[in-house]
Amino acid sequence: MISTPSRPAQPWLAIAGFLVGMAGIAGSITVVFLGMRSVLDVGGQCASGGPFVIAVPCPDGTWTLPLAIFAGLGFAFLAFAGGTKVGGIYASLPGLAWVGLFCALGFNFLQWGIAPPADPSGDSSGGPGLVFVLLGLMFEVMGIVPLVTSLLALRPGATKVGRTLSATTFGGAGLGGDLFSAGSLGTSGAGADVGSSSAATEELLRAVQAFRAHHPDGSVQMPEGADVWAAVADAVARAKVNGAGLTILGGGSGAAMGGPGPGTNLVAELERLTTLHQNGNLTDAEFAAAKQSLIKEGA
Amino acid sequence: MSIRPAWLLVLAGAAIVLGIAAGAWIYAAAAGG
Repeated sequence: MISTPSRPAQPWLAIAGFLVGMAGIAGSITVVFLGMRSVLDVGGQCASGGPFVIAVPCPDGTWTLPLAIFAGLGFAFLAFAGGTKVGGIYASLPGLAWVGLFCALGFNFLQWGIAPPADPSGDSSGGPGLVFVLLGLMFEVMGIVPLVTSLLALRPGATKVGRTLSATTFGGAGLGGDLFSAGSLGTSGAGADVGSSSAATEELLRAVQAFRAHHPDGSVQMPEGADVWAAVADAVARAKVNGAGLTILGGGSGAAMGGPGPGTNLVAELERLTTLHQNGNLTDAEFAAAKQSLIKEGA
Repeated sequence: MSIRPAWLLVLAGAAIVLGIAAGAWIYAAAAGG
């Protein structure tokens, strides 16, 4: 007899790490943004310390700039790690740091290239205007392109190219986040660990279930390949690693995959279903319906 | 109770705003002092 398990506990630690990471990223980018502006104010380069004659001393507070870069990397790691544990879109959200960083710094370059703030020294002898404009444009493109491709990938009817582009750019932003970043830092792509380990199978199964939960009819995102996805989800839901090989457990329409037929391992299927439910991939209603269907098939 | 995207998204937004404010404050303190 399998009883309905209680709902899974919230991954509070992961949520806390995610939130602290996001705040830290935002703070670090702000410090880099402000630090860059103050360095641009003195001509774009400065120096401090060392046994040299310093032409342009750094403004106060410039020391926070390199510090913020390293802190930002640490916070990004924290946010990615937490976000991946939380799952779904939260595995991808820290990728916005890339967009924020490049767009913010690009804005600085553009401002100093096109209309620099009044120079207190009264020196308006040109300067690297065009270079700054080009740098600014380059930074903006680097920031905006991944954002646009990710948003396009979220759009219903997105093309496969768009999804792939998004997944490779962000390591799984948006839709790709469900499919590609489960169990990784959201940067290591789809098949990295999908070998013969049961952990990898579990990850894949979770990813497919998450995808189906988002698109229950399986046809919104990829009308041309809906049947393929349904078949894959069906097969993976019945797959269980057996030694080095992959055995397809029976049930449902697994005939397409050459499954051994219904009722082969009802208990294993129910356990798998329970795990999915505990992990939050299935709602109470979905779990109950799937369990009923399994039991009916097994009977 | 499972994770609600809505409230976690709001929290993430608040964290970002808080982070920006903290970053600006830290930089101002470093530049001023």
